[in-house]
Amino acid sequence: MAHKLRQLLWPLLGMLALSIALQAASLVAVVEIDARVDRNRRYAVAATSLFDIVEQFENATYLALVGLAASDWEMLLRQRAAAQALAERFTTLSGAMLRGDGQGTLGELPPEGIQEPEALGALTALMKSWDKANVAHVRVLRSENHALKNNPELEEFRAASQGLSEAALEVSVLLQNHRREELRLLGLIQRVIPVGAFLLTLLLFGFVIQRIFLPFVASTEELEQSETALRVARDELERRVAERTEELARANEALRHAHDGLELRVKERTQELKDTQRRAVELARQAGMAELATNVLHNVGNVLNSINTSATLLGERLRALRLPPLLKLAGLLEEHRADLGTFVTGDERGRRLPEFLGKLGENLATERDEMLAMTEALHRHVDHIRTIVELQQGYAVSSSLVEAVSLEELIEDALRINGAALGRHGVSLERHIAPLPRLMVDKHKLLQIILNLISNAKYALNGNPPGERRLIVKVERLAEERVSVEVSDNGMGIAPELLTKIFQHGFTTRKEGHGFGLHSCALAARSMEGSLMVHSEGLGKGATFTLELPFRPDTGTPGQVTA
Amino acid sequence: MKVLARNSFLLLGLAGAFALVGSAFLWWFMGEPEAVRAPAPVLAPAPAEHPPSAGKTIRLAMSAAYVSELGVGVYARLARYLTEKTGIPIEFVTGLSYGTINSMLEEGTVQSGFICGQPYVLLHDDPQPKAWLIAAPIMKAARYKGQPIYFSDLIVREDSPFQRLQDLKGRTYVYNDEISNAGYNMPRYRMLELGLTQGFFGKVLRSGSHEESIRMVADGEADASYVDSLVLDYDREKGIGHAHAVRVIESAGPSSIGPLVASSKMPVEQRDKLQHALVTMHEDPEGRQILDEALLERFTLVQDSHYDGIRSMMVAAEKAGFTAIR
Repeated sequence: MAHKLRQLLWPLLGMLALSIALQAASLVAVVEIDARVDRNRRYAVAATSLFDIVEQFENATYLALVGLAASDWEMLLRQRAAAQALAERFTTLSGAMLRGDGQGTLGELPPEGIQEPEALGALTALMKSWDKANVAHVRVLRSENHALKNNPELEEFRAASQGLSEAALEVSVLLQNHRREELRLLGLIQRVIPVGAFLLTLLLFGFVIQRIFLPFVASTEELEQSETALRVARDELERRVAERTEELARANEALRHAHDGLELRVKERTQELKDTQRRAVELARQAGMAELATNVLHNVGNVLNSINTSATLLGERLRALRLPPLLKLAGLLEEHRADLGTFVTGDERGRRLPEFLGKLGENLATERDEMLAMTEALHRHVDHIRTIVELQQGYAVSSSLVEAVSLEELIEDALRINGAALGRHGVSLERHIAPLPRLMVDKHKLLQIILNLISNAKYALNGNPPGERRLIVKVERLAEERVSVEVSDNGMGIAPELLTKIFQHGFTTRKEGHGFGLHSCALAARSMEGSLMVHSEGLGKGATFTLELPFRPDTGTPGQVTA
Repeated sequence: MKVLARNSFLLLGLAGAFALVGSAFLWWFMGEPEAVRAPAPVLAPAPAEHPPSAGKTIRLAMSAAYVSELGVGVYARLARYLTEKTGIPIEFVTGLSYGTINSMLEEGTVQSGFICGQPYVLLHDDPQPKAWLIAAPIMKAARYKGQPIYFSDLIVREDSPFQRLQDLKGRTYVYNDEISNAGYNMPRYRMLELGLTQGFFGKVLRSGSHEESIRMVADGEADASYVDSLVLDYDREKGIGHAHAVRVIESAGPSSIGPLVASSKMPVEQRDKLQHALVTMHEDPEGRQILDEALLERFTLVQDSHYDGIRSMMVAAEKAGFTAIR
C-alpha cells in the first residue's frame, strides 16, 4: 500500500514542483524585465530631457549673442544665466545617467547607471560634444560685440552645437529602441505564461484521472465485493470467539473451586501448626519448671545433709557431756554431810574441792556454748531450706510474667539457692555486677537460665583441685538497650568441635544428664528476644556463657503477660 | 463518481475551465503590459531662477582677469558674503569680455566689478569718469610683498624648448583680451622695450580668458602666452586647470593689481558699504576663511595714481604706433 502510494506521490510531487518552478521562473522573468523596461523608460525620458536641455542651451546662447551684438546687456545677462543653469542641469543629469542616481537626487533615475554598451557609448560621445560646445559657448560670449561678424568662435559654436544636438538625439533614439525591444520581450513572456500554465494543468489533470481517479473507482467496486466476504469471515470469527470464551469461563470456574479447597487446607494446616507450637511451648515451660524443681530439691537435699550431720554431732556431744565427775562429787559431799567444814578444811580432797568445782563449771560452760552453736547451725540450715522453698515458690508463681526485676537481686537469689552446694564444693565466688536500674523481664525464665548456668559451672569445676575452683558472675550494660550476664568458670572447658552442638536438644556430657538444660535455656533466651552464647578456649581452659538481653527499663506500669 | 470516471470529456472540460481561471488570475496578478500604461511625464525643464529681491539688487561682475571660470565658486561666495555684510542683494556675473563688462559698468547694467587695471583706467580716464575705485586685493604669496600688485608670466608648454621671449619668433601667441593689462598691455610694452614690433610672432590668437590661454598653450594650440600670475597661482594651488602642463620662462611686472570698481551709476552710500565690508573682511572669521580660499591676504584701499604705470605703458605703445601685438 505504502509502495503504491509512493509510486503515485512522486510523479505528482514532481509535476507540482515543476509547475511551481515554472511559475516562479516566469514571475522572476516578468519582474526582471519589468524592472529593466522601467529603467530604460526612465533613461529614455532622461535622454529626451537631455535633448531638450541641449536645444534650450543652444537657444539661450544664441539669444545671449543677440543681446551682445545689440548691446542689450539685460538680455545678454538673462540668457547667459539661463544657459548656465541649463549647463548645470545637463552636467547633473548626464552624470546621473552615466554613474546612476545613487543619492536619488533626481528621483526619476534608477540607482545604477546605463548598462547597455551602445547607449553608454552614445552618452559618452554626447558628453564630449557637450564639453566642446560649452567651451565654444564660453569663448563666443567673451567676444567683443563689435567682433561678432565673421567670428570664427561663432562658427565653432555653431558646429559644436549641431554635433551636440545630433549626439543627444542619438542617445534618445537608442534608449527608445532598446526600450521598445524589451517591451516586446515582456509582452511575449506574458503571453507565454498562461499557455504554459494551461498545458501544465491539463497534464496534471490527465495524470490525476489516469493514475488516481480511475484506479480509485475500480478499487471501490472491488472493495464492495471484499466487504461481503469480510462480513462472512467476521461472523465466523465472532462465533469461534464466543465458543472459546465459554470454554475459558468453565476452566476459570474449575480453577476457582480448586483454589478455595486449597485455601481451606492451608488454613487447617496452619491451625494444626499453631496448636503444635503451643503444645511445644507448654512442654518446654513444664520442662523448665521441672528443671527448676530438680535444682531446688537438690539444694534442699544438700542442706538436709548438713542438718543431719549437725544433729549427729550434737547427739555425740550430749552423750560425751562430763556428768560422772559431778555425780562422784555429789556422793563425796553426801558422805561428809556431818563434818563438811572439817572435810573442806582438814581433808586433802576437801581442800581441793573449790578448785575442782571451778574447773568443772568452766568445762560445762564451754560444752554448753559449743552445743548452743550447733543448735544455732541447725536453725540456720532450716532457715535456708525455708528460704529456698520460698524463693522457688516465688518464681513458680510468676510464670511468663514480665515484671520489673533487679538483676542484682535475681542473681543473688540464684547464688543463694546454690549457696550451700558451692560452699560444700569449695568454690570461690567473684561478683562483678554493675549497678543497674530495674528492668522489665520474664523473671522466671531468667532465673531458670542463671540457675542452670551456675549449676553447669559447679559441675565443670568438680575436676579442679579444691582451692582452685573459681566462679565469676559478671553483669554489664553493653549498650543503651542491651545488657549481658556472664557466668565463667575455670573448669573442664569445652572442646571446639562441641561448641556448635552444645545448645542442641539432647546433647550432654554428663552421665546422669538428659541434654535438655542448655537447649531450654537457649529457647528461653530467644523468647525474651535475647541470645545465649558460649565461649571456650578448649578442654581444661574453662568456659564462659553469655546471656544477652534487651534492656527495657522499669516504666512504672504493672507487669504484663507476654504472648 | 462512476459517471465522472466514464466521461473523460467532462473531466477535460473541467480541467480547461480550471486552467482558464488560473491564467486569468496570473494575468491579473502580473498587471497589464508596460506598453499600455500611460507614458511617463518628460522631465520638465526647471523654471528660470528668480532670486528673491530684498531691496534693489546690484550686479557684481568678475572679469577673466581674476580666477576666471575655475574660481567662480569662491568669488560667488565672496559676493554672498558682501550681501550678508552690507544688506545689499548682489547678483554675481561672469563669463563676459572685458569690453562688454566695461560697457555694462558704463551704462549701469552692472554696478560693480572685479576688473583688470587697464579696463579701470579706460573707464576712469573718460572726461566724465565712469568708474571709481573701491578696493584692491593683496595676494598672500611672498612674491607680492604685501602690496596690491601682480605679474604677467610668460608661459610655454612644459616640454617646449623655449627659454625666453626672443626664442618665440614666428611662433603662435595667444592672448586673452585686447584691453587686458597682464595679457596685452604689459607684453606689448615688453615687446616694445625689446624692439620686437615688426611682426615678431607667426600667428596671434584671442582666447577670451587667461584660463583658456593656459589650456591652449598646454594643448599645443599656441606656443606661448602672457597670463595673469593670479590665475596661474590659483590653478597651480588648486590643481583644477592645465597649469601643471606649462612652465614660466619670464615674468613682466610687477604691475598694479586689478581693483574692485564701482560704476558711477552706483549710489555713493552703497559704494561706501561695499568698501567697508571689503577692507575689514580679513578681521572677520568668515571673511578670513573666504580670503584664505581665494589665496588673498586682504583688501586694501588704493588711489587712482596707483594705476599710472599702466597708463604710461598704454601711452608708450600708442606713441610708438605699436597698438596691436603682431
